[in-house]
Order: sequence, then structure tokens, then C-alpha cells
Amino acid sequence: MNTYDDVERTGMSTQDVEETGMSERAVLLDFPGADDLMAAGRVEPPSAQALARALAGIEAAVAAQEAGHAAGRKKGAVATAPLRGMSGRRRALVGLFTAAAVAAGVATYTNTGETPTGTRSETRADTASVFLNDISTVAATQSLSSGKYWKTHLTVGDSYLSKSMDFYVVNDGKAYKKGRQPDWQLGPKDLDWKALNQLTTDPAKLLQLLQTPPRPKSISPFDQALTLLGGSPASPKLRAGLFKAMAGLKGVTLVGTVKDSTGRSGTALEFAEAKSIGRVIVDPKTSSILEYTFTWTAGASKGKATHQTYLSVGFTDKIG
Amino acid sequence: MKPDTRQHEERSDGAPSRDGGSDAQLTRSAAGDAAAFTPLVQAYSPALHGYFARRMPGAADDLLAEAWLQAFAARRTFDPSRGSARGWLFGVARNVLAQHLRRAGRQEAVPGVEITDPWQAVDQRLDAAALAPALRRALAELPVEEREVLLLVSWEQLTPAEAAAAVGIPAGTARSRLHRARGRLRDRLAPTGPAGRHLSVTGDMA
Repeated sequence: MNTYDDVERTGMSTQDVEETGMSERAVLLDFPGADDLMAAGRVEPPSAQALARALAGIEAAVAAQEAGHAAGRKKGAVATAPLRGMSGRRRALVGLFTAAAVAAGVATYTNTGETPTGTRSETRADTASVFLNDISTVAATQSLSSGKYWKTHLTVGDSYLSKSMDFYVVNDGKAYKKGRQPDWQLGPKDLDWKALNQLTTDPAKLLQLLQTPPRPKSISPFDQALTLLGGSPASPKLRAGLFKAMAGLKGVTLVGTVKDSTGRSGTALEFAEAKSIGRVIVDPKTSSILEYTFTWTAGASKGKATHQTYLSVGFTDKIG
Repeated sequence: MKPDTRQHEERSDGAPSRDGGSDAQLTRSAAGDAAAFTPLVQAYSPALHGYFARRMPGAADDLLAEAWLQAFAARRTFDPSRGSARGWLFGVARNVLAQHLRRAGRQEAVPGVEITDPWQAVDQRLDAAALAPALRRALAELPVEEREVLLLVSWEQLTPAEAAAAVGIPAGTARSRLHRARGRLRDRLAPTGPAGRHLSVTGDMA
């Protein structure tokens, strides 16, 4: 492993360098047993998975950053304009503060909970919150639209929701009314379409709602947030708030870049509970939910999984 | 001072031996070209993973992913005039390790000083490598801040200046720590003379 094995160890002191031409490194480590110590530091190179995960995390962060930037430019680039007239020193300070703010954000999210539970999940929780904060910026910059119906195009079929929460499915080109869709749940709140539009978009308030024990207990805060993010006509601002709120949820971990069941690439996050695990794949460029998988990991249904693969969602004015 | 001959040798971890290109990539990524950051992950992951694997074998994969995200978030704090990308990245890695140790409550009992040299893990590694017991003991008896610099130079193949940047001390301080560590190890391990007496002379019970 090391390239210095051929350097003779002679016990000379630093002052001898000039005369002997010994490499600087060999001089720095000129003590008995230096080679043995170096050899004891030999480790296996990182696994392909470890490298892929590190890279996926950065690719997601870069993609989120760039998507956020592009959107920022479209909207008038408020943040960058005043920098132009600044002195170099001021500009450097602004840069430093931005970085400090990012770092502070990470710290805040790490400390949201009470006592740290496990180091492993803690470390990964950090990376998830960095991603969720970035994706929140992306979500905020998606364009606002409207329509009579909210259409959800899943791999298994299409469904439509009216503003009065009537639910329609389309089968063989024919639309069938399937009754009323249950309200969305957010902690103690039951939300219909109208209530959704009036809901706060403040991340702190949303997080508080998410953390208020739900009814029934089986729906986790992660599931609640994702149901709204994936299958509801939540506004870009509300989606941004929800992503940011999720960054404060304990136990959300970043998996990295994965492909969904249709082969689309996205960033996966997981949330494990006592008997189940939820995994979501988010498109880092648009903040769209690509796929949600819920798997029972214990109990009677152990091993059973449900998938929801979103091919597209959006407003439309007619069914079919 | 002789030129850094290391630049003519190939690094065993495959990372670029000249940091000029990496410095530029890091600077560019900080200036807004976020994608310029990605090649750094490929170039330095083996080196950074090695750093974690030697000190916290069970968590190296997690810590590597975390270190990259923190480095990306803090990329604007990199200042090429103050040192190389390599030293800066190891500084980030060191912080990540310190956070991990703090959370795990496994930090070495050095009140007020944050030394990222979890000796137990390192010592187990030395034991497993069947390092001569005398050398192992001598290393254990080094003051922790000297040992940290020594291991950064020996294991991570950093220059003293890079090790200084990683630890957050002036380069001269890193050099003198290394110098003192080397002196202690020579004293302790010299083939002639009773080692025990030297120990009591230097009086280091780190």
C-alpha cells in the first residue's frame, strides 16, 4: 500500500535531510516502527455501495441546488442583484453567512428531538434534513395552477377528485363515480380540498401538526406528509412547507439515488416505525413524488408491501 | 526546505497528488457551479473513507456520506489562499467524526479539548495488525494532540500543512507537534537505554 517502503530507515535527524536527499515524508516519519505503523493503517477501500451512496447524496444536493437556482433566476433573482454593488469584502461576508446559515440549519434540525437515540440514524437523519430543505426550495418554485379536478395518474390507473371531494376512477375509457374520498389527515386535523387551501404553509406549524398524535394511530407523520405531497392539490407553497417540516421529523433517513419500478431515477427517503417502513422516491429536479412503498416489517402482515407509483399528477378541467 | 517530493510519488489512495485542480473545482462549486463539486467526491472518497474506517470502522459508510453533504453545504467557506482542498476536506471529516463521537458519548475524556483520535478504536486496529507492543504502548502514551497529527501524516498521508488545516492549527504548530512526537517515539523505542526512564523524563501520560 505505501510507496515509502523502500526508504531506508537510518535513525537520522531532521537536519540530515539536505545531505541525504531523503524524501520529506520519510523525514517526517523518521522514528523506529514508522513503517509498521503505516502498515497497521491499511484498510479495505470503500465498497461500491458506500461510494454510490456518497455520490448519490451529493448529486441530489447539487440537483436540488441547481433546480432552486434556475427557479430563482426565473423569479427575478432577488437575492443576487444587490451583491453587484458590494465590495469584495462584503461579498465574502455574505458568502460566509450563507454557509453559516446552511450549517445552522443542519444543526437546528439535528437538535429538534429530545435525547439522541442511535448514532447511526442520527447521522443519516442529518443528511435527510439537508436534502429535504433543498427540495423544499425546489417545491416552492413550481408554478401554481388550478382546475376543476385533481388528476392522479398511477401505474394502476387514473383517478379524479372534484373540489367537493367526489372521487372518480376511469376504467376502459369510462368514468365511474366512487363516492366521496376521505379527508386528508394532518395530525388532529381532517382536511377537505377547501381546508387544504386554507392550511398554514409555515413549516414550524406544519411540523407541530404532524407531531400531534393522529387518529388512527397507524398513520405516521411521514405517511401523512407524503399523502399530501403526492396525492393532493397542495399548493407549491404548502408543499415547500411540508418538505421543510419533514426535515424536522426524527427518524427520516436518506437512502440515496434509486430507480423506481418504472425505471425513473430519484432520491429515496425512509421512515421506519416499529412494525413498518415507508419509503418515498422524490424527483430532485421537480420535487414530485415518484413512488411510495409501505412495507410491514413485523406482525401478521409482515413482508406485505403496497406500492403507489405516480406517473403524473395535476389539475384538469374534465374527466377522461 | 526541500520541495515536497510527495508530489512525484503516487498516492496509495488514488487521490490526486496535486491539489490545484481540486482547489479550482471546490472554488468553482462555491461560486455557483454546484456540479463542479461532484468530481471531488470521486477523487477523495477513498481517502476520506479510510480516515473514518481507521477510527470508527462500524460507521465509516455513514460518516463518509455525511461528510460530503456537510462539505457541500459549507463549500463557500473554503479559501484556497489558506490551504489545499485536501486539508480542508479532512477538516470537514474531522468535524463529522467529532460530532459522531459527541453524540455517541464515546469521546475521550479530554475536558475542553476536542481531539478526534478515538484511541480505543485505533489501538484495537494496532493490536489486530500485531504492531510491536512497545510501539503500541509508546503511541498510547503520546499526548493526544501530537498523536493526532502523527496519524494524519502517517495514515492519511497529509503534509504537515494539510494536517494543520484539518485540525485547525497553524502549520508551524503541526510541525512542532510532529517533531515532539517523533522525539518521544525515538526516545521510547531507541534500541539502547531503558525506555522506562525516558518515559518518566518526558512525563507524558496522555
